[in-house]
Amino acid sequence: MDPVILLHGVEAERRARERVFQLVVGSFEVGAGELVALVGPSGSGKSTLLDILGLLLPPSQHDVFMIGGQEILFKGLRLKDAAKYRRSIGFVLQHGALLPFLSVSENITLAAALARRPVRREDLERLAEELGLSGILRAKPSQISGGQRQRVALARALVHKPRIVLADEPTGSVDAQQALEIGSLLKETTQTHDLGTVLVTHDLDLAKHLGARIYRVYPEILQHGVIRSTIRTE
Amino acid sequence: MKKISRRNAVFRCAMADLMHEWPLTLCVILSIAAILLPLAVLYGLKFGVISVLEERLRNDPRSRELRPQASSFFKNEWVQKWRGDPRVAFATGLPASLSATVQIPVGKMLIDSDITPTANGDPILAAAKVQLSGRTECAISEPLALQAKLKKGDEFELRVKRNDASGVNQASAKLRVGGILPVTLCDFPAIYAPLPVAEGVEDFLSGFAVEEFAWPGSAPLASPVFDGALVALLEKPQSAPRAIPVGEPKTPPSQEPSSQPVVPPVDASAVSANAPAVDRPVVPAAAPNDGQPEPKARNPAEAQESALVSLRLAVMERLGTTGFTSIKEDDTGLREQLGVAVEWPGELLYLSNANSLVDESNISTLRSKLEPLGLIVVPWTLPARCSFAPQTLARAKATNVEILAWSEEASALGLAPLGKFPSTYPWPVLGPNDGPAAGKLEWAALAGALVMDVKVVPSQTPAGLLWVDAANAGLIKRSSVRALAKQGDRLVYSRQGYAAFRIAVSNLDFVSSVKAELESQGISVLAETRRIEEIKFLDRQLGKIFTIFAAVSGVGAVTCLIAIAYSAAERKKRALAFLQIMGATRKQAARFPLYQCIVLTLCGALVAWVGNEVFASMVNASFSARLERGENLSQLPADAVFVAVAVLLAIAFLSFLLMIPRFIGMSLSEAAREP
Repeated sequence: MDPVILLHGVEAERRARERVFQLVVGSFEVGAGELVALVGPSGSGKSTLLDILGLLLPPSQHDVFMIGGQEILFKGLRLKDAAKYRRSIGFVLQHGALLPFLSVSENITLAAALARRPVRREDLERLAEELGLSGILRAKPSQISGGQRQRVALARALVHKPRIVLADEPTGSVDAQQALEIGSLLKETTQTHDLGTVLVTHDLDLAKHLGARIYRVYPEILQHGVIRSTIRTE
Repeated sequence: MKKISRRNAVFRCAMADLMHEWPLTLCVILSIAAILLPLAVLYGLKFGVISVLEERLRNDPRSRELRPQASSFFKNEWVQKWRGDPRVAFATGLPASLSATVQIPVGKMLIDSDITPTANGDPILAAAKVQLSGRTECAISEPLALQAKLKKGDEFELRVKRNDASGVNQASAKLRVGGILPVTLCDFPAIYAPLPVAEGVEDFLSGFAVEEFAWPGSAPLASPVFDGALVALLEKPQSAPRAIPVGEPKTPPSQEPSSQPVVPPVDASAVSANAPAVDRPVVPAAAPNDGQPEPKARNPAEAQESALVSLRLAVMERLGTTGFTSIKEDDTGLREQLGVAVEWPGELLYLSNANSLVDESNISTLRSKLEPLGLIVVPWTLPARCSFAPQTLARAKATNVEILAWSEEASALGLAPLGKFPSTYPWPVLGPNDGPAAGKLEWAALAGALVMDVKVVPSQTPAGLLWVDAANAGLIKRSSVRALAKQGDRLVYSRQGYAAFRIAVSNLDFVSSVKAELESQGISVLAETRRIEEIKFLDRQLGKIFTIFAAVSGVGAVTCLIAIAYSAAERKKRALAFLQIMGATRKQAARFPLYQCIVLTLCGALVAWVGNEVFASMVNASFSARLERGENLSQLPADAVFVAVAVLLAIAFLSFLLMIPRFIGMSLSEAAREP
């Protein structure tokens, strides 16, 4: 199984207010059709790794950084190129993060349009059916439930046929039943679409239930205001 | 099911966001409109009011017209000069008697009317879209048309009346209505007629005949003038020479009766340029000595010299009221200058006026003073250059000739050939023996070339020289200083100038400069300059007020638009982050607030424009009673709207640029996670 994400010796630093987060990734690998869970306590740096993987935060150092089979050299990486790489990634953000002024179908097709992969009507309908969204395509995000919003977010992440899906706490705002449904859907689509999926969650049980390979984030306070998190496989 | 295409993805998002938050959008649009509306209203009012005032001035050709405040004398050339001025659209002289009215008979009634000279190009005619053709077509004012029941194409009778020694004289002419001037252009009975008609009216009222309309009266015959007079200081011949009428066959000298004069008839050799007259007059026996004792007997030469000196002194003493002010004594230079061709042995004095030519009355007065002294006064004109075209040749070839003045006195003294010039036409002239018998004499006069037919009497005159009767030579001289015209076989004075003028400038802006130029010539003029200046002043003042408003509003608009752009970036931070996370470049995502800025600005401008239109229609409706058709007291010109929109868009773009640093500093991951 060829890895769609391969990281070795990656370090990153994020400064927020008076705190400094340092993230150290010894080795991180996600294969095609594989669901990887990144678990750890809140504020430990899970989302920071997701930002690094989504090319939203450049690492301060890296030995190997391969996304979608392409090695990325951050030194001299242009914003335009970062946007280009980002088009091969599907994002599922917290609370769905849908644009409230667009309908469900527009939210989904917008992602395809921005990724320059126009979606045909029948493909959209098939995807909607697959994710159980057929009846709500014309609805506005405010008119649907939290679980439906996450399904729409998943549809939006998948519509432009990415090789990688990065899901940031997709189950954070739903109840346990819906969380399980969304987790299952994520696993199912990962396998169906042969994706490399990284699921960021603080729910270890859910990760185990989904049978995901688990990476843990171990935070430690180095000094006042400086937190160093190390990511290791379980 | 709506899909978003790649091309308009960001625009659709921006618009969908505005629609989604329509109450907020409406507030922003109204706040922009609130800034722009007063500005639009103020500018609309300023533009409308000034436009109405200016348009009224522009549409009223009288506002571009300048007339003198008082009658004076303006030469034709002066009027012509103004006609050639690039600022002037139309200029004409105004005859003096136009204060007197003409009359138009309608049934038993007579309607009094003013008459004003005009011509095509006159702004008053242009404003009424009237084009005149022919010398008797004229435009009449609407009040006159109504009173006289005239319409375009009708003929009417113009009647002029004058009182003179013979009683009341009345004349009339048929004129045709070429167009009617609306009451807005002329609100009293008036005829705008071609200049010759107006001049004819003036001439008739002044007592002269007007040939064009066969109106009776005297002819303004031209009178001769002379450069001066020759006074011969020799005794007058005892008896007058026999005059030979011009054209009468000459009798050879040998056949002359013996009883004929001391000065014999001039034969061919006697009148040649180089041959002197045969017998000369003698020095007068005695000159008045004013009761002085008789001088002692002297030798004849001394006695003659003394007599000459006495004569010179006597002449000088008698010049007082004659109009002659200058005396030149005889020498070769003088004779050459005067064109005295004959080697005449006697002494001549040349009398003239240093400042002007002398006329017949001056000559007559001089004669009355000098003839008692036994002196002969010869009216003299300096040789005049003319061209002579013989009539005999099929294609007459003109030759240059010099004209000298013949007079009986000059002939008697032998300065000119003997002859007699009857007052007939063609003019009799003495010419070379071998020359043609008739021809045309043409010379350059003040008002253009004049041509008179001449009948040539052969004489011993050398080629290139013609003797013309002194009266006619005087007319040639007169034509060099005053405009003369040929009328039949006579030369008459043609109009030299006018008592007033009408000058219409082509553009309102020229009124001031032309007025200033006229006033610098000492001519006080009536013009609408004050009205024009008042409008310009109002325009300037309103412009200043508008500039202050515009500056304040501009600051407000910039602040408002910057706030809009900034708030769009702030409020939509998350949406902008999503767009970029989903694959939009930063440039694409930045278009989101830019599009919103532009659309909000345009909508705000549109609302302001609509608001202004509503306001303008209310203002215009409330003033409609005082406005002409097509006039609007409040109106926004299209170009001003375009400029305003362009400026607003520039401000919107500037606001967007000011927002850019905030947008660039935004962290995508943080923004995406913001609640």
